[in-house]
Amino acid sequence: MAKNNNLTDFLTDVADAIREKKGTSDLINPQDFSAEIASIKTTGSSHKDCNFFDPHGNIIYSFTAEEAMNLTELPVPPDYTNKGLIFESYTHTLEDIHSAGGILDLGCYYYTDDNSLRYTIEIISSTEVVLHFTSEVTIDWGDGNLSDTYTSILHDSYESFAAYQYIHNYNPGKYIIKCKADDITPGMRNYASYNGKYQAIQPQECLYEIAIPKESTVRFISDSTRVYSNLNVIYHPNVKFYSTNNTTTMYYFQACNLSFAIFKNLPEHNDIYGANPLKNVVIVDDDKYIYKKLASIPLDNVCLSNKFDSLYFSNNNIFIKKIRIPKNLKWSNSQRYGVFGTRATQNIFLREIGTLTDKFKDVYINAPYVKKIKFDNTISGINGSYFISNIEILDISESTSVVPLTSLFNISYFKILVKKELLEEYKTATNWSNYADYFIGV
Amino acid sequence: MIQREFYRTREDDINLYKTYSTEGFYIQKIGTEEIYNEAVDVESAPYKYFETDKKIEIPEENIVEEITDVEEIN
Repeated sequence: MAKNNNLTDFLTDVADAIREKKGTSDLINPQDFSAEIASIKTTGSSHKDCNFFDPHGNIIYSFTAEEAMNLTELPVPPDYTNKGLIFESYTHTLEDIHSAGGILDLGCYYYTDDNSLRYTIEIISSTEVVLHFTSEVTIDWGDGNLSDTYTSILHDSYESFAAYQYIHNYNPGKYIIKCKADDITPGMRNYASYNGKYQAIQPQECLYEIAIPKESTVRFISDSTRVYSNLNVIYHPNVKFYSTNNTTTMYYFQACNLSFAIFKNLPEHNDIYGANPLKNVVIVDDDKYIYKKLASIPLDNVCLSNKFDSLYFSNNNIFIKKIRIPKNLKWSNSQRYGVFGTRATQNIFLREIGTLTDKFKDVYINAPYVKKIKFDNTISGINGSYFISNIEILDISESTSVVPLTSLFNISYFKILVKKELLEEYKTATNWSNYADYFIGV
Repeated sequence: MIQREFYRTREDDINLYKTYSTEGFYIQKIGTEEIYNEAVDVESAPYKYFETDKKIEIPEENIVEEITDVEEIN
Protein backbone atom coordinates (compact mmCIF):
# COMPACT_ATOMS: atom_id res chain seq x y z
CA MET A 1 0.00 0.00 0.00
CA ALA A 2 1.30 3.48 -0.86
CA LYS A 3 2.47 5.50 2.12
CA ASN A 4 0.74 8.68 1.10
CA ASN A 5 -1.94 9.69 -1.26
CA ASN A 6 0.28 11.07 -4.03
CA LEU A 7 1.30 9.88 -7.48
CA THR A 8 4.99 9.35 -6.73
CA ASP A 9 4.31 7.04 -3.82
CA PHE A 10 1.70 5.22 -5.85
CA LEU A 11 4.09 4.59 -8.76
CA THR A 12 6.87 3.55 -6.40
CA ASP A 13 4.52 1.14 -4.69
CA VAL A 14 3.54 -0.45 -8.03
CA ALA A 15 7.19 -0.71 -9.05
CA ASP A 16 8.09 -2.29 -5.69
CA ALA A 17 5.35 -4.88 -6.17
CA ILE A 18 6.65 -5.75 -9.63
CA ARG A 19 10.24 -5.93 -8.34
CA GLU A 20 9.19 -8.24 -5.54
CA LYS A 21 7.31 -10.54 -7.88
CA LYS A 22 10.23 -10.68 -10.31
CA GLY A 23 12.87 -10.88 -7.63
CA THR A 24 14.81 -7.93 -8.97
CA SER A 25 15.98 -4.55 -7.77
CA ASP A 26 16.14 -2.98 -11.24
CA LEU A 27 14.67 0.42 -11.94
CA ILE A 28 11.27 0.18 -13.66
CA ASN A 29 9.83 3.13 -15.48
CA PRO A 30 6.05 3.68 -15.34
CA GLN A 31 5.71 3.39 -19.12
CA ASP A 32 7.05 -0.17 -18.80
CA PHE A 33 4.65 -1.27 -16.08
CA SER A 34 2.25 -3.15 -18.35
CA ALA A 35 5.06 -5.00 -20.13
CA GLU A 36 6.74 -5.82 -16.83
CA ILE A 37 3.54 -7.18 -15.33
CA ALA A 38 2.82 -9.22 -18.45
CA SER A 39 6.27 -10.76 -18.25
CA ILE A 40 5.83 -12.01 -14.69
CA LYS A 41 5.85 -15.76 -14.80
CA THR A 42 3.15 -17.32 -12.71
CA THR A 43 3.19 -20.95 -11.78
CA GLY A 44 -0.35 -21.03 -10.46
CA SER A 45 -1.25 -22.98 -7.40
CA SER A 46 -0.86 -26.44 -8.85
CA HIS A 47 1.51 -28.58 -6.92
CA LYS A 48 3.74 -31.22 -8.34
CA ASP A 49 5.75 -33.76 -6.41
CA CYS A 50 8.55 -31.37 -5.52
CA ASN A 51 7.62 -27.76 -4.84
CA PHE A 52 9.69 -24.75 -3.93
CA PHE A 53 7.86 -22.02 -2.05
CA ASP A 54 8.87 -18.43 -1.48
CA PRO A 55 8.29 -16.97 2.01
CA HIS A 56 4.91 -15.67 0.89
CA GLY A 57 3.63 -19.13 0.05
CA ASN A 58 3.89 -18.83 -3.71
CA ILE A 59 5.23 -21.76 -5.65
CA ILE A 60 8.35 -20.57 -7.41
CA TYR A 61 9.38 -23.91 -8.90
CA SER A 62 7.65 -27.26 -9.12
CA PHE A 63 8.86 -30.53 -10.50
CA THR A 64 7.60 -34.03 -10.98
CA ALA A 65 9.41 -36.62 -8.89
CA GLU A 66 11.33 -37.74 -11.95
CA GLU A 67 12.36 -34.18 -12.76
CA ALA A 68 13.37 -33.58 -9.16
CA MET A 69 15.50 -36.69 -9.09
CA ASN A 70 17.35 -35.39 -12.13
CA LEU A 71 18.12 -32.03 -10.55
CA THR A 72 21.85 -31.45 -10.25
CA GLU A 73 21.58 -28.21 -8.32
CA LEU A 74 18.94 -26.29 -6.44
CA PRO A 75 17.21 -23.53 -8.42
CA VAL A 76 18.00 -19.87 -7.87
CA PRO A 77 16.01 -18.57 -4.89
CA PRO A 78 14.00 -15.31 -4.99
CA ASP A 79 16.14 -12.23 -4.61
CA TYR A 80 15.02 -9.92 -1.82
CA THR A 81 18.19 -7.87 -1.58
CA ASN A 82 16.14 -4.81 -2.49
CA LYS A 83 14.21 -5.46 0.73
CA GLY A 84 17.39 -5.89 2.73
CA LEU A 85 16.99 -9.64 3.06
CA ILE A 86 19.75 -12.15 2.41
CA PHE A 87 19.02 -15.69 1.33
CA GLU A 88 20.30 -18.18 3.88
CA SER A 89 19.27 -21.57 2.56
CA TYR A 90 16.49 -23.73 1.38
CA THR A 91 14.88 -25.91 4.00
CA HIS A 92 16.40 -28.97 2.36
CA THR A 93 19.41 -29.88 0.32
CA LEU A 94 19.62 -31.48 -3.08
CA GLU A 95 20.55 -34.70 -1.30
CA ASP A 96 17.35 -34.47 0.75
CA ILE A 97 15.32 -34.26 -2.44
CA HIS A 98 17.04 -37.28 -3.89
CA SER A 99 16.71 -39.33 -0.72
CA ALA A 100 12.99 -38.47 -0.61
CA GLY A 101 12.54 -39.90 -4.07
CA GLY A 102 11.87 -36.48 -5.52
CA ILE A 103 8.76 -35.95 -3.39
CA LEU A 104 9.43 -33.02 -1.13
CA ASP A 105 8.33 -29.46 -0.48
CA LEU A 106 10.93 -26.81 0.21
CA GLY A 107 10.85 -23.32 1.57
CA CYS A 108 13.60 -20.75 1.84
CA TYR A 109 15.01 -18.81 4.73
CA TYR A 110 16.17 -15.21 4.76
CA TYR A 111 17.82 -12.99 7.34
CA THR A 112 18.20 -9.23 7.56
CA ASP A 113 21.28 -7.61 6.04
CA ASP A 114 21.86 -5.17 8.91
CA ASN A 115 21.51 -7.40 11.96
CA SER A 116 18.13 -5.90 12.80
CA LEU A 117 14.84 -7.36 13.88
CA ARG A 118 12.31 -6.02 11.41
CA TYR A 119 8.61 -5.57 11.66
CA THR A 120 6.65 -4.74 8.54
CA ILE A 121 3.57 -2.95 9.74
CA GLU A 122 0.58 -1.44 8.07
CA ILE A 123 -1.28 1.41 9.68
CA ILE A 124 -4.82 1.93 8.52
CA SER A 125 -5.59 5.07 10.51
CA SER A 126 -3.28 7.29 12.49
CA THR A 127 -2.30 5.65 15.72
CA GLU A 128 0.52 5.16 18.14
CA VAL A 129 2.52 1.96 17.97
CA VAL A 130 3.98 0.62 21.18
CA LEU A 131 6.93 -1.76 21.26
CA HIS A 132 8.17 -3.66 24.30
CA PHE A 133 11.49 -5.40 24.74
CA THR A 134 13.17 -7.08 27.66
CA SER A 135 16.25 -4.91 27.13
CA GLU A 136 17.17 -1.60 25.55
CA VAL A 137 17.16 -1.44 21.78
CA THR A 138 17.72 1.15 19.09
CA ILE A 139 14.87 1.68 16.69
CA ASP A 140 14.48 3.01 13.17
CA TRP A 141 10.75 3.60 12.94
CA GLY A 142 10.79 3.48 9.15
CA ASP A 143 9.33 6.93 8.62
CA GLY A 144 12.52 8.90 8.97
CA ASN A 145 12.45 8.95 12.75
CA LEU A 146 14.97 7.22 15.00
CA SER A 147 14.71 6.39 18.64
CA ASP A 148 17.43 5.25 20.98
CA THR A 149 15.73 5.95 24.29
CA TYR A 150 12.82 4.13 25.75
CA THR A 151 9.71 5.90 26.88
CA SER A 152 9.48 4.11 30.19
CA ILE A 153 10.47 0.97 32.05
CA LEU A 154 7.66 -1.27 33.18
CA HIS A 155 7.96 -3.96 35.80
CA ASP A 156 6.04 -7.06 36.62
CA SER A 157 4.44 -7.41 40.01
CA TYR A 158 7.51 -9.14 41.44
CA GLU A 159 9.89 -6.53 40.05
CA SER A 160 11.83 -9.40 38.58
CA PHE A 161 11.51 -8.51 34.94
CA ALA A 162 11.32 -5.23 33.11
CA ALA A 163 9.88 -4.16 29.80
CA TYR A 164 11.42 -1.29 27.92
CA GLN A 165 8.59 0.54 26.25
CA TYR A 166 8.94 2.53 23.03
CA ILE A 167 6.09 4.57 21.57
CA HIS A 168 5.79 6.18 18.15
CA ASN A 169 2.93 7.85 16.28
CA TYR A 170 2.22 6.82 12.71
CA ASN A 171 0.15 8.12 9.88
CA PRO A 172 -1.58 5.58 7.65
CA GLY A 173 0.85 3.64 5.49
CA LYS A 174 3.19 0.70 5.32
CA TYR A 175 6.41 0.89 7.28
CA ILE A 176 9.39 -1.25 8.17
CA ILE A 177 10.57 -0.91 11.75
CA LYS A 178 14.18 -1.93 12.38
CA CYS A 179 15.21 -2.80 15.93
CA LYS A 180 18.72 -3.60 17.08
CA ALA A 181 20.20 -4.97 20.27
CA ASP A 182 22.74 -7.58 21.23
CA ASP A 183 20.10 -9.93 22.56
CA ILE A 184 16.67 -8.89 21.45
CA THR A 185 13.52 -10.29 23.02
CA PRO A 186 10.21 -8.61 22.25
CA GLY A 187 7.58 -8.49 24.96
CA MET A 188 8.11 -8.91 28.65
CA ARG A 189 8.49 -12.01 30.72
CA ASN A 190 6.51 -12.38 33.88
CA TYR A 191 7.89 -13.81 37.03
CA ALA A 192 7.91 -17.60 37.14
CA SER A 193 6.50 -18.04 33.70
CA TYR A 194 6.88 -17.13 30.09
CA ASN A 195 3.60 -15.31 30.13
CA GLY A 196 4.02 -11.92 28.62
CA LYS A 197 2.67 -9.00 30.54
CA TYR A 198 3.29 -6.52 27.74
CA GLN A 199 2.85 -7.37 24.12
CA ALA A 200 5.78 -7.21 21.74
CA ILE A 201 3.88 -4.80 19.55
CA GLN A 202 0.63 -2.97 19.96
CA PRO A 203 -1.69 -2.82 18.14
CA GLN A 204 -0.95 -6.43 17.35
CA GLU A 205 -2.97 -6.48 14.17
CA CYS A 206 -0.66 -3.98 12.44
CA LEU A 207 2.13 -6.54 12.20
CA TYR A 208 2.40 -8.22 8.80
CA GLU A 209 5.93 -9.55 8.46
CA ILE A 210 8.87 -10.44 10.67
CA ALA A 211 12.49 -10.78 9.64
CA ILE A 212 15.31 -11.50 12.07
CA PRO A 213 19.10 -11.18 12.13
CA LYS A 214 21.40 -13.94 10.99
CA GLU A 215 22.03 -16.77 13.43
CA SER A 216 19.60 -15.41 15.97
CA THR A 217 16.51 -16.69 17.66
CA VAL A 218 13.84 -14.18 18.56
CA ARG A 219 11.27 -15.09 21.15
CA PHE A 220 7.99 -13.24 21.25
CA ILE A 221 6.32 -13.24 24.62
CA SER A 222 2.62 -12.61 24.73
CA ASP A 223 -0.02 -12.77 27.39
CA SER A 224 -2.85 -14.05 25.29
CA THR A 225 -3.59 -16.32 22.42
CA ARG A 226 -4.70 -15.53 18.92
CA VAL A 227 -2.68 -12.40 18.63
CA TYR A 228 -0.85 -11.08 15.57
CA SER A 229 -3.91 -11.86 13.53
CA ASN A 230 -2.47 -10.28 10.38
CA LEU A 231 1.01 -11.73 10.57
CA ASN A 232 1.56 -13.34 7.21
CA VAL A 233 5.23 -13.86 6.61
CA ILE A 234 8.10 -15.00 8.76
CA TYR A 235 11.33 -15.03 6.84
CA HIS A 236 13.15 -17.39 9.18
CA PRO A 237 11.86 -20.15 11.46
CA ASN A 238 13.81 -19.00 14.49
CA VAL A 239 10.89 -16.87 15.57
CA LYS A 240 9.14 -18.35 18.56
CA PHE A 241 5.86 -17.37 20.06
CA TYR A 242 5.03 -18.06 23.65
CA SER A 243 1.51 -17.54 24.74
CA THR A 244 1.13 -19.93 27.63
CA ASN A 245 3.46 -20.71 30.44
CA ASN A 246 6.30 -23.07 29.85
CA THR A 247 4.89 -25.90 31.88
CA THR A 248 1.95 -26.60 29.62
CA THR A 249 1.39 -27.19 25.98
CA MET A 250 2.76 -24.44 23.84
CA TYR A 251 0.27 -23.09 21.40
CA TYR A 252 2.99 -22.45 18.96
CA PHE A 253 0.97 -21.19 16.08
CA GLN A 254 -1.91 -19.85 18.02
CA ALA A 255 -0.33 -16.49 18.43
CA CYS A 256 -0.18 -15.82 14.75
CA ASN A 257 -2.16 -16.09 11.61
CA LEU A 258 0.33 -17.13 9.02
CA SER A 259 -0.88 -17.64 5.53
CA PHE A 260 2.21 -19.63 4.83
CA ALA A 261 5.04 -21.17 6.73
CA ILE A 262 7.75 -23.69 6.21
CA PHE A 263 9.47 -24.73 9.38
CA LYS A 264 12.28 -27.16 9.58
CA ASN A 265 12.87 -27.06 13.27
CA LEU A 266 9.87 -26.19 15.32
CA PRO A 267 11.14 -25.32 18.74
CA GLU A 268 10.32 -26.88 22.04
CA HIS A 269 6.91 -28.25 21.31
CA ASN A 270 5.68 -31.75 21.28
CA ASP A 271 2.23 -30.92 20.09
CA ILE A 272 0.85 -28.24 17.89
CA TYR A 273 -2.67 -27.24 18.66
CA GLY A 274 -5.25 -24.66 18.00
CA ALA A 275 -3.73 -22.44 15.41
CA ASN A 276 -5.56 -19.90 13.42
CA PRO A 277 -5.86 -20.81 9.78
CA LEU A 278 -2.62 -21.77 8.14
CA LYS A 279 -2.35 -22.35 4.45
CA ASN A 280 0.30 -24.11 2.46
CA VAL A 281 2.05 -25.20 5.57
CA VAL A 282 5.00 -27.49 5.27
CA ILE A 283 6.30 -28.94 8.47
CA VAL A 284 9.42 -30.83 7.72
CA ASP A 285 11.87 -33.00 9.51
CA ASP A 286 13.20 -31.97 12.81
CA ASP A 287 16.42 -33.24 14.19
CA LYS A 288 15.48 -32.92 17.82
CA TYR A 289 11.79 -33.14 18.42
CA ILE A 290 9.01 -35.51 17.60
CA TYR A 291 5.62 -33.95 17.11
CA LYS A 292 3.04 -36.32 18.34
CA LYS A 293 -0.12 -34.61 17.44
CA LEU A 294 -1.39 -32.11 14.99
CA ALA A 295 -4.88 -31.16 15.91
CA SER A 296 -7.53 -28.62 15.23
CA ILE A 297 -5.53 -26.64 12.79
CA PRO A 298 -7.42 -25.46 9.75
CA LEU A 299 -4.77 -26.26 7.22
CA ASP A 300 -4.87 -26.02 3.49
CA ASN A 301 -2.48 -28.22 1.64
CA VAL A 302 -0.32 -29.88 4.19
CA CYS A 303 2.86 -31.83 3.89
CA LEU A 304 3.86 -33.15 7.25
CA SER A 305 7.12 -34.19 8.73
CA ASN A 306 7.69 -37.86 9.13
CA LYS A 307 8.24 -37.14 12.79
CA PHE A 308 4.51 -36.94 13.36
CA ASP A 309 3.46 -40.27 14.69
CA SER A 310 -0.23 -39.73 14.47
CA LEU A 311 -2.58 -37.29 12.93
CA TYR A 312 -5.79 -36.06 14.43
CA PHE A 313 -8.08 -33.75 12.60
CA SER A 314 -11.22 -32.47 14.17
CA ASN A 315 -14.31 -31.38 12.37
CA ASN A 316 -12.95 -27.88 12.60
CA ASN A 317 -10.42 -28.77 9.95
CA ILE A 318 -12.73 -27.71 7.22
CA PHE A 319 -10.07 -26.13 5.07
CA ILE A 320 -7.90 -29.15 4.49
CA LYS A 321 -8.01 -29.91 0.81
CA LYS A 322 -4.96 -31.98 0.20
CA ILE A 323 -2.77 -34.02 2.44
CA ARG A 324 0.39 -35.78 1.56
CA ILE A 325 1.11 -38.15 4.35
CA PRO A 326 4.85 -38.44 4.75
CA LYS A 327 6.83 -41.52 4.10
CA ASN A 328 7.68 -43.57 7.13
CA LEU A 329 4.90 -42.11 9.22
CA LYS A 330 4.58 -44.28 12.27
CA TRP A 331 0.96 -45.02 12.75
CA SER A 332 0.03 -45.87 16.27
CA ASN A 333 -1.57 -49.24 16.65
CA SER A 334 -3.90 -47.86 19.25
CA GLN A 335 -5.23 -45.19 16.97
CA ARG A 336 -6.86 -46.29 13.81
CA TYR A 337 -7.99 -43.02 12.34
CA GLY A 338 -5.11 -41.38 10.65
CA VAL A 339 -7.23 -39.14 8.54
CA PHE A 340 -10.16 -38.10 10.52
CA GLY A 341 -13.02 -35.70 10.14
CA THR A 342 -11.45 -33.56 7.52
CA ARG A 343 -14.55 -32.18 5.99
CA ALA A 344 -12.98 -30.40 3.06
CA THR A 345 -10.26 -32.88 2.30
CA GLN A 346 -10.50 -33.96 -1.30
CA ASN A 347 -7.32 -35.75 -2.11
CA ILE A 348 -5.16 -38.02 0.00
CA PHE A 349 -2.03 -39.82 -1.02
CA LEU A 350 -0.98 -42.34 1.57
CA ARG A 351 2.52 -43.63 1.19
CA GLU A 352 4.26 -46.57 2.73
CA ILE A 353 1.31 -47.50 4.83
CA GLY A 354 2.65 -50.85 5.86
CA THR A 355 1.10 -54.12 6.76
CA LEU A 356 -2.49 -55.11 6.82
CA THR A 357 -3.22 -56.03 10.36
CA ASP A 358 -1.01 -53.70 12.33
CA LYS A 359 -0.85 -50.55 10.38
CA PHE A 360 -3.36 -50.11 7.66
CA LYS A 361 -6.23 -50.37 10.02
CA ASP A 362 -4.87 -47.24 11.66
CA VAL A 363 -5.91 -45.27 8.67
CA TYR A 364 -9.49 -44.54 9.29
CA ILE A 365 -11.03 -42.47 6.57
CA ASN A 366 -13.78 -40.25 7.90
CA ALA A 367 -13.60 -37.28 5.64
CA PRO A 368 -16.88 -36.74 3.84
CA TYR A 369 -15.45 -34.69 1.02
CA VAL A 370 -12.52 -36.89 0.16
CA LYS A 371 -12.76 -37.64 -3.53
CA LYS A 372 -9.61 -39.58 -4.19
CA ILE A 373 -7.42 -41.79 -2.11
CA LYS A 374 -4.25 -43.17 -3.57
CA PHE A 375 -1.92 -45.73 -2.10
CA ASP A 376 1.56 -46.50 -3.18
CA ASN A 377 2.82 -50.00 -3.86
CA THR A 378 3.60 -50.72 -0.22
CA ILE A 379 -0.01 -51.16 0.77
CA SER A 380 -0.50 -54.77 1.70
CA GLY A 381 -4.17 -54.75 2.52
CA ILE A 382 -7.29 -52.65 2.73
CA ASN A 383 -10.06 -52.86 5.26
CA GLY A 384 -13.08 -51.45 3.51
CA SER A 385 -15.03 -51.04 6.73
CA TYR A 386 -12.65 -48.29 7.77
CA PHE A 387 -13.78 -46.13 4.91
CA ILE A 388 -16.86 -44.37 6.15
CA SER A 389 -16.75 -41.54 3.68
CA ASN A 390 -17.95 -41.67 0.13
CA ILE A 391 -15.05 -41.40 -2.24
CA GLU A 392 -14.99 -41.20 -6.00
CA ILE A 393 -11.66 -42.81 -6.77
CA LEU A 394 -9.59 -45.42 -4.96
CA ASP A 395 -6.26 -45.65 -6.72
CA ILE A 396 -4.24 -48.80 -6.01
CA SER A 397 -2.76 -48.99 -9.47
CA GLU A 398 0.79 -48.83 -8.17
CA SER A 399 0.45 -52.25 -6.58
CA THR A 400 1.87 -55.04 -8.70
CA SER A 401 -0.23 -57.78 -7.11
CA VAL A 402 -3.79 -57.96 -5.86
CA VAL A 403 -4.12 -56.09 -2.57
CA PRO A 404 -6.17 -58.13 -0.07
CA LEU A 405 -9.50 -56.55 0.83
CA THR A 406 -10.35 -57.78 4.30
CA SER A 407 -13.82 -56.31 4.50
CA LEU A 408 -16.43 -54.87 2.21
CA PHE A 409 -16.68 -51.15 1.82
CA ASN A 410 -19.44 -49.28 3.56
CA ILE A 411 -19.58 -46.76 0.80
CA SER A 412 -21.49 -46.48 -2.43
CA TYR A 413 -20.22 -46.56 -6.00
CA PHE A 414 -16.69 -45.42 -6.71
CA LYS A 415 -14.00 -46.11 -9.26
CA ILE A 416 -11.13 -48.42 -8.42
CA LEU A 417 -7.96 -47.90 -10.40
CA VAL A 418 -5.83 -51.02 -10.67
CA LYS A 419 -2.99 -52.15 -12.84
CA LYS A 420 -4.40 -53.27 -16.18
CA GLU A 421 -2.67 -56.65 -15.99
CA LEU A 422 -4.48 -57.43 -12.73
CA LEU A 423 -7.96 -56.42 -13.83
CA GLU A 424 -9.42 -59.91 -14.31
CA GLU A 425 -7.71 -61.21 -11.19
CA TYR A 426 -9.33 -58.47 -9.11
CA LYS A 427 -12.79 -59.34 -10.44
CA THR A 428 -12.57 -62.80 -8.90
CA ALA A 429 -10.52 -61.95 -5.81
CA THR A 430 -12.12 -62.30 -2.40
CA ASN A 431 -14.31 -59.29 -1.60
CA TRP A 432 -13.09 -57.39 -4.64
CA SER A 433 -15.42 -59.63 -6.61
CA ASN A 434 -18.27 -57.58 -5.23
CA TYR A 435 -16.94 -54.54 -7.07
CA ALA A 436 -16.30 -56.09 -10.48
CA ASP A 437 -18.06 -53.21 -12.22
CA TYR A 438 -16.02 -50.58 -10.44
CA PHE A 439 -12.58 -51.44 -11.79
CA ILE A 440 -10.62 -49.44 -14.30
CA GLY A 441 -7.34 -50.86 -15.56
CA VAL A 442 -4.60 -48.30 -15.97
CA MET B 1 -19.62 -70.68 13.48
CA ILE B 2 -18.80 -70.17 9.85
CA GLN B 3 -21.75 -69.23 7.68
CA ARG B 4 -21.74 -69.22 3.87
CA GLU B 5 -24.74 -67.78 2.09
CA PHE B 6 -25.81 -66.42 -1.24
CA TYR B 7 -24.96 -62.72 -1.43
CA ARG B 8 -26.05 -61.42 -4.84
CA THR B 9 -25.82 -61.92 -8.57
CA ARG B 10 -23.52 -59.64 -10.47
CA GLU B 11 -24.55 -57.93 -13.69
CA ASP B 12 -22.50 -60.50 -15.59
CA ASP B 13 -24.70 -63.20 -14.01
CA ILE B 14 -21.97 -64.49 -11.74
CA ASN B 15 -23.24 -65.42 -8.30
CA LEU B 16 -21.45 -64.19 -5.21
CA TYR B 17 -21.38 -65.97 -1.86
CA LYS B 18 -20.57 -64.40 1.46
CA THR B 19 -18.71 -66.22 4.24
CA TYR B 20 -18.60 -64.85 7.78
CA SER B 21 -18.53 -65.75 11.46
CA THR B 22 -21.92 -65.78 13.09
CA GLU B 23 -20.23 -64.92 16.39
CA GLY B 24 -18.41 -61.84 15.08
CA PHE B 25 -14.91 -63.34 14.84
CA TYR B 26 -12.40 -62.75 12.09
CA ILE B 27 -12.21 -65.57 9.59
CA GLN B 28 -9.08 -66.91 7.94
CA LYS B 29 -8.75 -68.34 4.46
CA ILE B 30 -7.53 -71.89 4.80
CA GLY B 31 -4.02 -72.43 3.50
CA THR B 32 -3.21 -68.73 3.72
CA GLU B 33 -2.54 -66.07 6.33
CA GLU B 34 -5.31 -63.87 4.99
CA ILE B 35 -7.69 -62.61 7.67
CA TYR B 36 -11.09 -61.20 6.80
CA ASN B 37 -14.05 -59.60 8.52
CA GLU B 38 -16.16 -61.29 5.90
CA ALA B 39 -15.36 -62.81 2.52
CA VAL B 40 -17.37 -62.41 -0.66
CA ASP B 41 -16.29 -64.80 -3.40
CA VAL B 42 -17.49 -65.82 -6.80
CA GLU B 43 -19.44 -69.06 -6.79
CA SER B 44 -16.67 -71.03 -8.44
CA ALA B 45 -13.96 -69.89 -6.00
CA PRO B 46 -12.31 -72.83 -4.18
CA TYR B 47 -11.66 -70.91 -0.96
CA LYS B 48 -12.67 -72.17 2.44
CA TYR B 49 -12.44 -70.37 5.76
CA PHE B 50 -12.21 -71.08 9.44
CA GLU B 51 -13.18 -68.95 12.39
CA THR B 52 -10.35 -67.34 14.34
CA ASP B 53 -10.51 -66.61 18.06
CA LYS B 54 -10.21 -62.87 17.58
CA LYS B 55 -13.29 -60.68 17.73
CA ILE B 56 -13.82 -58.12 15.01
CA GLU B 57 -13.09 -54.65 16.34
CA ILE B 58 -15.63 -51.90 15.97
CA PRO B 59 -13.93 -48.61 15.17
CA GLU B 60 -16.74 -46.25 16.09
CA GLU B 61 -16.00 -46.50 19.80
CA ASN B 62 -12.61 -44.95 19.31
CA ILE B 63 -13.90 -42.16 17.15
CA VAL B 64 -16.03 -40.90 20.00
CA GLU B 65 -12.99 -40.87 22.25
CA GLU B 66 -11.06 -38.94 19.68
CA ILE B 67 -13.67 -36.26 19.22
CA THR B 68 -13.71 -35.73 22.95
CA ASP B 69 -9.96 -35.46 22.99
CA VAL B 70 -9.84 -32.80 20.32
CA GLU B 71 -12.66 -30.75 21.78
CA GLU B 72 -10.96 -30.67 25.13
CA ILE B 73 -7.89 -29.31 23.46
CA ASN B 74 -9.87 -26.52 21.90
